Amino acid sequence: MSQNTIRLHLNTKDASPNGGDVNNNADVVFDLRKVGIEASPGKLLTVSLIKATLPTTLTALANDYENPAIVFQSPNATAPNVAGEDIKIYCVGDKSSSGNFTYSATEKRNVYYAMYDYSIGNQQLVGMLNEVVQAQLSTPATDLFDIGLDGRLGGAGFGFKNLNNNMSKRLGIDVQSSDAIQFTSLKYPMTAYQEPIIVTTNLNLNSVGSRDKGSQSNILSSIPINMEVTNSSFSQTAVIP
Amino acid sequence: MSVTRRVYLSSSDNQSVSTQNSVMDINLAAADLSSKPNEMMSVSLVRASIPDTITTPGLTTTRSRGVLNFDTRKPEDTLQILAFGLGQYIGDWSETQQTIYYVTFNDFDNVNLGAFPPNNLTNYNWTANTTLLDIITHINNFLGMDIFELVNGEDGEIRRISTIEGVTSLYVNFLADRSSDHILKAFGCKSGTDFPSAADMLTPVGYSSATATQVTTPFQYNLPSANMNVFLRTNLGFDSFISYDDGQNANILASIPLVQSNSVTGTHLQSSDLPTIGVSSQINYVNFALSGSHKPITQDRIANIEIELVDKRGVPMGLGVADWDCVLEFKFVTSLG
Repeated sequence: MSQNTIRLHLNTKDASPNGGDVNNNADVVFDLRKVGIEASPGKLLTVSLIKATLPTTLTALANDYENPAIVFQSPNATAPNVAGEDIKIYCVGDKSSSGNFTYSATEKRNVYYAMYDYSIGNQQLVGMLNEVVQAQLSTPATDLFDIGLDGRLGGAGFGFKNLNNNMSKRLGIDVQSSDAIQFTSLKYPMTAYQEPIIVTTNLNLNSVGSRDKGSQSNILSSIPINMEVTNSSFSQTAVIP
Repeated sequence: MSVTRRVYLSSSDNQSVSTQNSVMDINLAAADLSSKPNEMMSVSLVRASIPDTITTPGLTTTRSRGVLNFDTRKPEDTLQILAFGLGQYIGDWSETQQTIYYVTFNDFDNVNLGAFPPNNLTNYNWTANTTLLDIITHINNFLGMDIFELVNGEDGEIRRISTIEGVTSLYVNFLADRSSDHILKAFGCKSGTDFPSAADMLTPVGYSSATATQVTTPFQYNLPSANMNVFLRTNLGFDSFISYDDGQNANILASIPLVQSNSVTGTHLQSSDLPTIGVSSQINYVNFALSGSHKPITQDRIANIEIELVDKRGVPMGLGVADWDCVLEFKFVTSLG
């Protein structure tokens, strides 16, 4: 049996968008006509992903402008904000739409749009919640949320509800529980667990995904999330190799 | 000649609810994973990703006999517990000479604490991110004063547990008869079940009297040794063997070392005043010996697959509410006969 291999080095800057958002490089089409990949009679084509490098700006939660990822209530607020009123955070990939995390004496601040990418860990998430709470107050107060020794989210007087399923798992909230709102330390620890990125294609593969009773068959590979820093500043230059 | 199919599984697609996501129960009826009459199937784990919330020493789902009843029988595997006596005494040790305290681990449902927690019992949730200092700090907080400290030496070479240096009133005995062995070993204490005399099951630390010298645990602490691997137990039929309990056959698909990848770095919002608990992480396992680890399986069709995360004793491990993922590879090998 003889076989030839061709390696394809692909970069999304050379691709065209596969419909949808033209600025979203997560779904693209490559024109491979010049490569001449063709199986001659009696041969079979096989394919494999060798390696991939992805930026941390990849959204770790799907963009959703319609449904807030987090809805919670703060026990304190300074007018025009209202204590006990729902504060909504939407997770979206467009950084320019981020909410203003500062108090305003003239504008009620209870809706935020936040970038939720792979650089957000437990501390960053809790930091974001605390920033939102601080933005309800004219003078800074002690942070409402903290992370306990055993990694559980703690605090006093907060209440979550209508959580996005992914976000509830990150915060350690049991969505199976009948407690829709929790005001004290949570039962389970927070986690920044990121499920592997699934790479799907238009190729006819025989792979199996667990969704929909195993009917998905176009998965080329999965990429575990393990970020590596490409310089020493721990800035936004990390990559997922 | 063989054909391979890769199966990408996520616990978020579970068809049933399991305790802390420790079981992945996936319906694969639409995938047509079946072998032809002249084929055999084999399977191997390709990759797995597991969150850092995994309970390293296993879940506690059994109530302690000792906390309320002074029952000194060795704890069941489903009870992760550490017992120690606190206080100086004269003469031979007995359980009335010291105040006995218990620490359960990963008792998320408060099986032991219950609605009216005994005042000599506390619980701590021990995950892959837990350090011994975290546990010691929790116990000290529970006792209301600094009792324990880590003795590391200037170069960190000693790594033993004792009571606070210089406080000659502090004396502690770790109790092997009513503690879990894997936890005693992680703390550097004596363990086992053979105790010819009461003193044989004691691991003393601290100062036995005001004029005594400080005693540390006899062995170095090593928290990961409580459980260094997670085992994937499945409903697939194949031969594998695990040495626990004098050895037994079990459908162990693979073992995954609890080695963490630091997965999350990035921006830190300035107003946040949070304790330093380290960067977020998770366990990413890749099976680099894929071709050699394929196991023939007895089934000729797989419509449903169950995979359970257990520790080295077969005790379920919990993940809190987090999910986990894995990739399996099935081979369909044509018989040459």
